[in-house]
Amino acid sequence: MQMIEVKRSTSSRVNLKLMTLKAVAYDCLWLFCFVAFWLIGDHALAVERTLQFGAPEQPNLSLRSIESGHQIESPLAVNTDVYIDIVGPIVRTRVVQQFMNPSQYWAEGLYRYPLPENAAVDQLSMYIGERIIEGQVHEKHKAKNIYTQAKRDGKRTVMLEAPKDNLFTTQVANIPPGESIKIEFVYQEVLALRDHGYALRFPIVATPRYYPRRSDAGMQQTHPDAKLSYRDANTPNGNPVNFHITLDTGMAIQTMHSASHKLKREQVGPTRYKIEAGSGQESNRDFVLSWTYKAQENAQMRLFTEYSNDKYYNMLMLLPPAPDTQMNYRARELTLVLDVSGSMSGESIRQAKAAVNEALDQLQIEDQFNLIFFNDRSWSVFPQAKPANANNVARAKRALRNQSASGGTRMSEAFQLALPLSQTQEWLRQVVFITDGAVGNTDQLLAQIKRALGTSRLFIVGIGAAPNSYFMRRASEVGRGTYAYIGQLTQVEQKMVSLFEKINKPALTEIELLLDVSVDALLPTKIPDIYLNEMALLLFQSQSAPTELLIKGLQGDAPVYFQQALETEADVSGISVEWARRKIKDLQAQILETSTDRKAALIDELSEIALKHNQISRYTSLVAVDVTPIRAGATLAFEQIRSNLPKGWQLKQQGTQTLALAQTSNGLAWMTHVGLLWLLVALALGVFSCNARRHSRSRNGA
Amino acid sequence: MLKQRWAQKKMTLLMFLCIVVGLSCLAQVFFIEAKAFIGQVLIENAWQKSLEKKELHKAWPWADTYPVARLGIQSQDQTLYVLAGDSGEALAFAPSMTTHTSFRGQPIYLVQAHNDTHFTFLESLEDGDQLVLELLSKTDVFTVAEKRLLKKPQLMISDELDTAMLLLTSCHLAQNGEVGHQKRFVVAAYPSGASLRSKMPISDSTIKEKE
Repeated sequence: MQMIEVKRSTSSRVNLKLMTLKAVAYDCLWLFCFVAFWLIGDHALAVERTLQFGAPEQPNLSLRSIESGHQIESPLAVNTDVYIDIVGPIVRTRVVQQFMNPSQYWAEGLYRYPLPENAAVDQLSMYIGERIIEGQVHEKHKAKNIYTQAKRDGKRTVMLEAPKDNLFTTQVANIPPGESIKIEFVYQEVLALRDHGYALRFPIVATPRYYPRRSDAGMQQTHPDAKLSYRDANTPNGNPVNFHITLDTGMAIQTMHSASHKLKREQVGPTRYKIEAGSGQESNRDFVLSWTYKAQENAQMRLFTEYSNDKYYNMLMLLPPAPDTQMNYRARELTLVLDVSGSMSGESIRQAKAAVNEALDQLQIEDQFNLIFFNDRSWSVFPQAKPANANNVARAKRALRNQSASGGTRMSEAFQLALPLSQTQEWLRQVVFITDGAVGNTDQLLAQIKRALGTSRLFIVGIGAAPNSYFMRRASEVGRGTYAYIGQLTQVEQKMVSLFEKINKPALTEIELLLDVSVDALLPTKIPDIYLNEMALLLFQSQSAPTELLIKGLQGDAPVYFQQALETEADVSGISVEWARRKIKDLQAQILETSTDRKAALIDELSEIALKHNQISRYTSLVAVDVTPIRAGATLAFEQIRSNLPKGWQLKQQGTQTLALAQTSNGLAWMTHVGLLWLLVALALGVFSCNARRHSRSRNGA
Repeated sequence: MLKQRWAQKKMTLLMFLCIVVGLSCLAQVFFIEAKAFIGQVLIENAWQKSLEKKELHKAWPWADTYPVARLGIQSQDQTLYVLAGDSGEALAFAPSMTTHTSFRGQPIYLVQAHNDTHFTFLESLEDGDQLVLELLSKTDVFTVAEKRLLKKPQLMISDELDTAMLLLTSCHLAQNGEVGHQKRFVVAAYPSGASLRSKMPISDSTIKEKE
């Protein structure tokens, strides 16, 4: 009886001990989990931080103009009038800048301002009373010499330069005290149709920012944009910009509005409008005018031709028909390439995986697909593309789910896997390349892509503060695809899904131009596919004016032909300018990509085209010089004209520059302590269990 | 009896678990230290190659970055090989440098490293200590002139700064173990012999706003 009681009591004691042990075990488990998470999480956190710090937009920035010579008390002012003439997609814009010098000194003014990305400046004139002095295009250094000489000689002179980043510069010298100089330049752009309409944007302000740049040494540098000088946020806006627009929409419009400015609109014809806009108050924001058409059921084609320099320059606008619900689906071979290097860890990889998952869901049964991962090495889920049946898709999804991000970034092998030697002709082969990586050896990669591309379309998605957007844009251009840049990590999934939806159903593929004349110097050199609600613009030269237009392509998987007889409405001006602009852009890209020995030849070719077509570029500038000297003896004051601060901006930390600092502690000391603590706990447990064993053994012995 | 033995077994199991966790922590520490050490050796080789061929060499073929400089700290008798960038990957192997440009067009070299591997000595640097920064193109000697503790991981640089500047920064030592690591210790050095016009070229954001 007693024995039993004793036993019971010991068993209850053991029970109690077990319970506390259980609790301790739970605690330990939690601690273990915590430590494990901490070890993993710390790394991920550090990576995410640096990503945030590397973000390109740094609004807390103020800049000083670099001023020399005399400082002018009452500053120079610029009045800008913008005359825009729009016919269909072709926009010719005449910008009149009046430089006013209210001071009692002779002045030289420098004004920097943005122009649209696709602007091609081809005319410059200076007004002096009734006289007009036409500017001439020269190679950059030559133009500068002419300008400096004229400035020294006391002649009125103006120079227009196009440095990088679409910030243009006007320099005007010898503005007499209390007087002004009026200059005018003309540029042209061609608008792209999006969502049944056009949006015209005239940039007025440039936002202050740092440029993340890769220097020649391969290291990443950030430069404050020292080119711009801003007016104080508290002073009212200066430099008013007024718009005078004539718009010929060509077809009946559905809507027209401006999100930025108040419009004064007057209809002067069935499809013609006169519009006035602009005031000083509105000169701190870009001007936007957009108009839309009704959706078209048939394919729309328009050919514009210009005869210039013994050649015919042609521009073809091609708008595919609205999608037919009956349209046959063209089977695709979709290759998804996902960067799983360490820098993708965190939100980037999570959202990219979700988007890829969505893309796998969108696959049709007749499609083929493959999924490739890469960090320092590359591997694919299937050895070659497999049919998108439920089984295979599930397998790919499983592989995707199990993928985590670690390691470095090596792209060349991934491109090799994604662009194999033998490619299908039957399916539309699309490669979507998703990365946030910095690319070092861009020339080799581009050469590799050009070599191995075959019939594939290459779409690139760049995530985060990727420093090499240039490479990605260019690679997707070469690959007849598109480049999507996603700066905000929160938008990765959404933007990728909309890209996948877009490329899911191209409106027209494998487009071929069949004309009754031979097509020369076609730009872009390979005709891209056309997607829903977008249009293609093709530019080419020919020896005679085309009279008949035939276009062949694939709508879904069915071949279609569009035919149209052309009336020779030969003389639309500006086509040669647009051709030259595109050619210059193409050459510019090639110059950046080639090694030194071919570079000089390409620069020469570019300069030649720019000089022939009167265009300013990175290597050519426009300069105009008056004949008669007007200043003798008196000194010349130099001033950079201050730009308006963009709406909503404030330069808080005037006079400072901010550098972000990375996470720089491993917490080694702490981790050592934690490690030792665990060992100590183990030791204590060992002693405790030894004691307990001895205790029970001795009791058993008793 | 059986239950008792079971409890003992559990205890032993728990003990081993503790030993495994403890050792894995220490292994992690060892791993990080080893990475930091081996990184320096590999980068030294790559740097020598870079110097010979006058072009940048990756330390290992899959690296995301390049060695860009050698930093000599005379008072500590230390030589460190520096990688480009400020990514977590680069920082694990070596101090990492980003180059910026001041308002007056002078270079600002910002070198960051972990305070428990490469920059353990940072807070013990004294004013007047010499730092030798060897780049591919040139070698400059800098003198430590300013030390500062920042509350936030950002650094303001005044536009009065009219010389080149070398900045060494790391997390504040006293903060180890805390989550977030907001505080940073900064050492600023200027070219030896340069006279500074502005008194305080670097500052905390908070200090600057009060002025």
